[in-house]
Amino acid sequence: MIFKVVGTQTVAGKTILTIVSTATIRPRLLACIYSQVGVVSTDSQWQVQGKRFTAPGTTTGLTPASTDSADPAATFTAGSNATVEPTYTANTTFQDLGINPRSTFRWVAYDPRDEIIMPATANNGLGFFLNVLGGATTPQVEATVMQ
Amino acid sequence: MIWIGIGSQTVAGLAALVVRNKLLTSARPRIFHVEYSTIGLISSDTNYHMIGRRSTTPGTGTAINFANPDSADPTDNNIGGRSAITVNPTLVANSTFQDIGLSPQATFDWVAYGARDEIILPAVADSGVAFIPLTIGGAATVQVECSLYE
Repeated sequence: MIFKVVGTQTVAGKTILTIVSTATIRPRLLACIYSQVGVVSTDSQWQVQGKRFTAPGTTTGLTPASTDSADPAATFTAGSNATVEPTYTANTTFQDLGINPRSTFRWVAYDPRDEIIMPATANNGLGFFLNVLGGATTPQVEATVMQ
Repeated sequence: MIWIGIGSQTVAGLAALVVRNKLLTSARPRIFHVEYSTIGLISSDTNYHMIGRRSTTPGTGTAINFANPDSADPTDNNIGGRSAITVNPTLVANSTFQDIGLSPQATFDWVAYGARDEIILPAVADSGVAFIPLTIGGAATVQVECSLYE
Protein backbone atom coordinates (compact mmCIF):
# COMPACT_ATOMS: atom_id res chain seq x y z
CA MET A 1 0.00 0.00 0.00
CA ILE A 2 1.16 3.48 -0.82
CA PHE A 3 0.38 6.62 1.14
CA LYS A 4 1.02 10.36 0.83
CA VAL A 5 1.95 12.62 3.75
CA VAL A 6 2.69 16.34 3.71
CA GLY A 7 4.61 18.29 6.32
CA THR A 8 5.31 22.01 6.66
CA GLN A 9 7.65 24.20 8.66
CA THR A 10 8.37 27.91 9.02
CA VAL A 11 11.38 27.83 11.36
CA ALA A 12 14.95 27.03 10.32
CA GLY A 13 16.59 24.33 12.42
CA LYS A 14 13.33 22.42 12.82
CA THR A 15 11.99 19.37 11.04
CA ILE A 16 9.32 19.65 8.36
CA LEU A 17 8.11 16.06 8.21
CA THR A 18 8.71 12.80 10.07
CA ILE A 19 7.84 9.27 8.93
CA VAL A 20 7.84 6.78 11.79
CA SER A 21 8.14 3.01 11.49
CA THR A 22 6.94 0.27 13.85
CA ALA A 23 8.37 -3.10 14.91
CA THR A 24 6.30 -4.97 12.34
CA ILE A 25 6.80 -3.11 9.05
CA ARG A 26 9.58 -1.70 6.87
CA PRO A 27 8.20 1.44 5.19
CA ARG A 28 9.91 2.62 2.02
CA LEU A 29 10.25 6.19 0.78
CA LEU A 30 9.54 6.21 -2.96
CA ALA A 31 9.34 9.90 -3.89
CA CYS A 32 9.24 13.44 -2.48
CA ILE A 33 7.99 16.79 -3.72
CA TYR A 34 9.67 19.85 -2.22
CA SER A 35 7.90 23.18 -2.54
CA GLN A 36 7.01 26.24 -0.56
CA VAL A 37 3.87 28.30 -0.01
CA GLY A 38 3.64 32.04 0.65
CA VAL A 39 5.42 35.21 -0.40
CA VAL A 40 9.07 34.81 -1.31
CA SER A 41 11.18 37.40 0.49
CA THR A 42 14.46 36.91 -1.41
CA ASP A 43 15.91 34.60 -4.02
CA SER A 44 17.93 32.85 -1.32
CA GLN A 45 17.59 29.05 -1.43
CA TRP A 46 16.05 27.01 1.35
CA GLN A 47 17.91 23.86 2.36
CA VAL A 48 16.38 20.55 3.38
CA GLN A 49 18.13 17.43 4.65
CA GLY A 50 16.63 13.95 4.80
CA LYS A 51 18.08 11.88 7.66
CA ARG A 52 17.30 8.83 9.74
CA PHE A 53 16.25 9.11 13.39
CA THR A 54 15.78 6.83 16.37
CA ALA A 55 13.23 8.98 18.22
CA PRO A 56 10.62 11.08 16.41
CA GLY A 57 10.55 14.20 18.60
CA THR A 58 7.32 16.16 18.96
CA THR A 59 5.24 16.97 15.90
CA THR A 60 1.69 17.59 14.76
CA GLY A 61 0.24 14.21 13.83
CA LEU A 62 -0.71 13.54 10.20
CA THR A 63 -3.13 11.02 8.73
CA PRO A 64 -1.49 9.35 5.72
CA ALA A 65 -3.73 9.40 2.62
CA SER A 66 -3.83 6.21 0.60
CA THR A 67 -3.54 6.10 -3.18
CA ASP A 68 -6.23 3.41 -3.22
CA SER A 69 -9.56 4.32 -1.66
CA ALA A 70 -10.07 0.66 -0.67
CA ASP A 71 -6.92 0.48 1.48
CA PRO A 72 -7.03 0.32 5.28
CA ALA A 73 -5.34 2.96 7.40
CA ALA A 74 -1.56 3.16 7.44
CA THR A 75 0.45 1.39 10.11
CA PHE A 76 3.34 3.83 10.03
CA THR A 77 2.75 7.28 11.49
CA ALA A 78 3.84 10.72 10.37
CA GLY A 79 4.20 14.19 11.82
CA SER A 80 4.56 17.77 10.63
CA ASN A 81 6.03 21.00 11.99
CA ALA A 82 8.32 19.63 14.71
CA THR A 83 8.60 21.62 17.90
CA VAL A 84 10.99 19.14 19.54
CA GLU A 85 13.53 17.67 17.17
CA PRO A 86 13.89 13.97 16.39
CA THR A 87 17.06 12.23 17.55
CA TYR A 88 18.93 12.06 14.27
CA THR A 89 21.53 9.41 13.50
CA ALA A 90 24.91 10.72 12.37
CA ASN A 91 26.06 9.99 8.83
CA THR A 92 22.63 8.99 7.52
CA THR A 93 21.84 11.99 5.32
CA PHE A 94 20.26 10.50 2.21
CA GLN A 95 19.17 13.81 0.71
CA ASP A 96 20.59 17.33 1.07
CA LEU A 97 19.19 19.91 -1.32
CA GLY A 98 19.18 23.64 -1.83
CA ILE A 99 15.87 24.63 -3.39
CA ASN A 100 14.87 27.92 -4.95
CA PRO A 101 11.85 29.24 -3.01
CA ARG A 102 10.16 30.03 -6.33
CA SER A 103 10.50 26.50 -7.61
CA THR A 104 9.13 23.02 -7.00
CA PHE A 105 11.43 20.00 -6.98
CA ARG A 106 10.52 16.34 -7.23
CA TRP A 107 12.75 13.42 -6.34
CA VAL A 108 11.74 9.94 -7.44
CA ALA A 109 13.69 6.80 -6.66
CA TYR A 110 15.52 5.46 -9.69
CA ASP A 111 13.91 2.07 -9.13
CA PRO A 112 13.06 -0.09 -6.09
CA ARG A 113 16.78 -0.49 -5.28
CA ASP A 114 17.00 3.25 -4.73
CA GLU A 115 14.05 3.50 -2.33
CA ILE A 116 14.89 4.60 1.22
CA ILE A 117 13.99 1.72 3.52
CA MET A 118 13.21 2.22 7.20
CA PRO A 119 13.96 -0.40 9.85
CA ALA A 120 11.31 -2.53 11.54
CA THR A 121 11.97 -0.72 14.79
CA ALA A 122 9.44 1.33 16.71
CA ASN A 123 10.01 5.10 16.68
CA ASN A 124 12.72 4.84 14.05
CA GLY A 125 12.24 6.57 10.75
CA LEU A 126 13.06 9.45 8.45
CA GLY A 127 12.97 13.18 9.03
CA PHE A 128 13.17 16.12 6.63
CA PHE A 129 15.10 18.82 8.43
CA LEU A 130 14.82 22.48 7.39
CA ASN A 131 18.43 23.59 7.73
CA VAL A 132 18.08 27.01 6.06
CA LEU A 133 14.84 28.93 5.45
CA GLY A 134 16.32 31.36 2.91
CA GLY A 135 13.71 33.41 1.11
CA ALA A 136 10.96 30.90 1.72
CA THR A 137 7.94 31.38 3.96
CA THR A 138 6.59 27.87 4.48
CA PRO A 139 8.59 25.02 2.95
CA GLN A 140 6.68 21.81 2.59
CA VAL A 141 7.56 18.22 1.81
CA GLU A 142 5.15 15.71 0.30
CA ALA A 143 6.39 12.15 0.72
CA THR A 144 5.22 8.98 -1.00
CA VAL A 145 5.60 6.05 1.38
CA MET A 146 4.98 2.35 0.80
CA GLN A 147 4.43 -0.11 3.62
CA MET B 1 -8.72 3.30 -22.34
CA ILE B 2 -6.96 6.48 -21.37
CA TRP B 3 -8.73 9.78 -20.85
CA ILE B 4 -7.42 13.33 -20.53
CA GLY B 5 -9.35 16.11 -18.80
CA ILE B 6 -8.45 19.77 -18.36
CA GLY B 7 -9.90 22.28 -15.90
CA SER B 8 -9.11 25.82 -14.85
CA GLN B 9 -9.89 28.23 -12.06
CA THR B 10 -9.34 31.88 -11.14
CA VAL B 11 -10.73 31.82 -7.60
CA ALA B 12 -8.85 30.50 -4.58
CA GLY B 13 -10.57 27.75 -2.64
CA LEU B 14 -12.67 26.46 -5.53
CA ALA B 15 -11.69 23.42 -7.59
CA ALA B 16 -10.09 23.88 -10.99
CA LEU B 17 -10.90 20.33 -12.04
CA VAL B 18 -13.15 17.60 -10.73
CA VAL B 19 -12.86 14.05 -12.07
CA ARG B 20 -15.63 11.65 -11.21
CA ASN B 21 -17.12 8.29 -11.90
CA LYS B 22 -20.36 9.04 -13.69
CA LEU B 23 -21.81 5.58 -13.92
CA LEU B 24 -19.18 3.11 -12.91
CA THR B 25 -19.86 0.77 -10.08
CA SER B 26 -17.68 -2.02 -11.39
CA ALA B 27 -14.51 -0.33 -12.63
CA ARG B 28 -11.90 1.68 -10.81
CA PRO B 29 -10.33 4.53 -12.81
CA ARG B 30 -6.66 5.24 -12.04
CA ILE B 31 -4.96 8.63 -12.26
CA PHE B 32 -1.38 8.36 -13.43
CA HIS B 33 -0.45 11.84 -14.68
CA VAL B 34 -1.21 15.42 -13.59
CA GLU B 35 0.14 18.68 -15.04
CA TYR B 36 -0.15 22.03 -13.30
CA SER B 37 0.30 25.35 -15.08
CA THR B 38 -1.06 28.87 -15.23
CA ILE B 39 -2.36 31.00 -18.08
CA GLY B 40 -2.32 34.78 -18.27
CA LEU B 41 -0.40 37.67 -16.79
CA ILE B 42 1.44 36.92 -13.55
CA SER B 43 0.87 39.59 -10.92
CA SER B 44 3.64 38.52 -8.52
CA ASP B 45 6.15 35.74 -7.93
CA THR B 46 4.09 34.33 -5.08
CA ASN B 47 3.47 30.61 -5.40
CA TYR B 48 0.01 29.17 -5.78
CA HIS B 49 -0.91 26.20 -3.61
CA MET B 50 -2.59 23.17 -5.12
CA ILE B 51 -4.09 20.16 -3.43
CA GLY B 52 -5.61 16.98 -4.85
CA ARG B 53 -8.25 15.38 -2.66
CA ARG B 54 -10.93 12.73 -2.96
CA SER B 55 -14.56 13.75 -3.33
CA THR B 56 -17.93 12.05 -3.06
CA THR B 57 -20.02 14.53 -5.07
CA PRO B 58 -19.02 16.44 -8.22
CA GLY B 59 -19.97 19.95 -7.09
CA THR B 60 -21.14 22.61 -9.53
CA GLY B 61 -19.13 23.78 -12.51
CA THR B 62 -18.72 23.69 -16.26
CA ALA B 63 -18.98 20.15 -17.61
CA ILE B 64 -16.00 19.03 -19.66
CA ASN B 65 -15.49 16.21 -22.11
CA PHE B 66 -12.49 13.96 -21.72
CA ALA B 67 -10.27 13.43 -24.73
CA ASN B 68 -8.46 10.17 -25.44
CA PRO B 69 -5.17 9.47 -27.13
CA ASP B 70 -6.66 6.83 -29.40
CA SER B 71 -8.98 8.22 -32.06
CA ALA B 72 -10.62 4.81 -32.37
CA ASP B 73 -11.82 4.76 -28.78
CA PRO B 74 -15.55 5.13 -28.14
CA THR B 75 -17.04 8.19 -26.49
CA ASP B 76 -16.65 8.04 -22.78
CA ASN B 77 -19.83 7.69 -20.80
CA ASN B 78 -18.26 6.67 -17.56
CA ILE B 79 -15.75 9.37 -16.69
CA GLY B 80 -17.05 12.87 -16.11
CA GLY B 81 -15.39 16.12 -15.24
CA ARG B 82 -16.07 19.69 -14.30
CA SER B 83 -14.00 22.82 -14.64
CA ALA B 84 -14.20 26.30 -13.06
CA ILE B 85 -16.11 25.00 -10.07
CA THR B 86 -18.48 27.44 -8.38
CA VAL B 87 -19.67 25.08 -5.63
CA ASN B 88 -17.02 22.69 -4.38
CA PRO B 89 -17.50 18.92 -4.30
CA THR B 90 -17.95 17.19 -0.97
CA LEU B 91 -14.37 16.46 0.02
CA VAL B 92 -13.19 13.43 1.97
CA ALA B 93 -11.21 14.16 5.13
CA ASN B 94 -7.60 12.94 5.29
CA SER B 95 -7.55 12.03 1.62
CA THR B 96 -5.13 14.64 0.27
CA PHE B 97 -2.95 12.77 -2.19
CA GLN B 98 -1.17 15.83 -3.57
CA ASP B 99 -0.20 19.08 -1.82
CA ILE B 100 2.26 21.34 -3.64
CA GLY B 101 3.34 24.96 -3.80
CA LEU B 102 3.95 26.01 -7.41
CA SER B 103 5.50 29.03 -9.06
CA PRO B 104 3.02 30.82 -11.34
CA GLN B 105 5.90 31.14 -13.83
CA ALA B 106 6.48 27.39 -14.01
CA THR B 107 4.81 24.26 -15.28
CA PHE B 108 4.92 21.13 -13.14
CA ASP B 109 4.44 17.57 -14.28
CA TRP B 110 3.62 14.76 -11.86
CA VAL B 111 3.76 11.20 -13.10
CA ALA B 112 3.06 8.20 -10.90
CA TYR B 113 6.12 6.24 -9.83
CA GLY B 114 4.95 3.08 -11.55
CA ALA B 115 1.53 1.49 -11.35
CA ARG B 116 1.83 1.15 -7.58
CA ASP B 117 1.72 4.92 -7.18
CA GLU B 118 -1.39 5.60 -9.27
CA ILE B 119 -4.35 7.23 -7.54
CA ILE B 120 -7.19 4.73 -7.64
CA LEU B 121 -10.78 5.95 -7.58
CA PRO B 122 -13.51 3.90 -5.94
CA ALA B 123 -16.13 2.09 -7.99
CA VAL B 124 -18.80 4.38 -6.66
CA ALA B 125 -20.89 6.66 -8.87
CA ASP B 126 -20.15 10.37 -8.42
CA SER B 127 -17.01 9.71 -6.37
CA GLY B 128 -13.73 11.05 -7.67
CA VAL B 129 -11.09 13.66 -7.01
CA ALA B 130 -10.85 17.43 -7.00
CA PHE B 131 -7.84 19.62 -7.73
CA ILE B 132 -8.17 22.84 -5.74
CA PRO B 133 -5.99 25.97 -5.61
CA LEU B 134 -6.01 26.81 -1.91
CA THR B 135 -4.25 30.06 -2.78
CA ILE B 136 -3.85 31.68 -6.20
CA GLY B 137 -0.68 33.63 -5.39
CA GLY B 138 0.55 35.53 -8.43
CA ALA B 139 -1.31 33.36 -10.91
CA ALA B 140 -4.14 34.59 -13.10
CA THR B 141 -5.75 31.32 -14.19
CA VAL B 142 -4.63 28.02 -12.71
CA GLN B 143 -4.94 25.05 -15.03
CA VAL B 144 -4.85 21.32 -14.26
CA GLU B 145 -4.58 18.52 -16.81
CA CYS B 146 -5.25 15.01 -15.58
CA SER B 147 -4.77 11.68 -17.33
CA LEU B 148 -6.43 8.51 -16.15
CA TYR B 149 -7.42 5.13 -17.44
CA GLU B 150 -10.35 2.89 -16.81
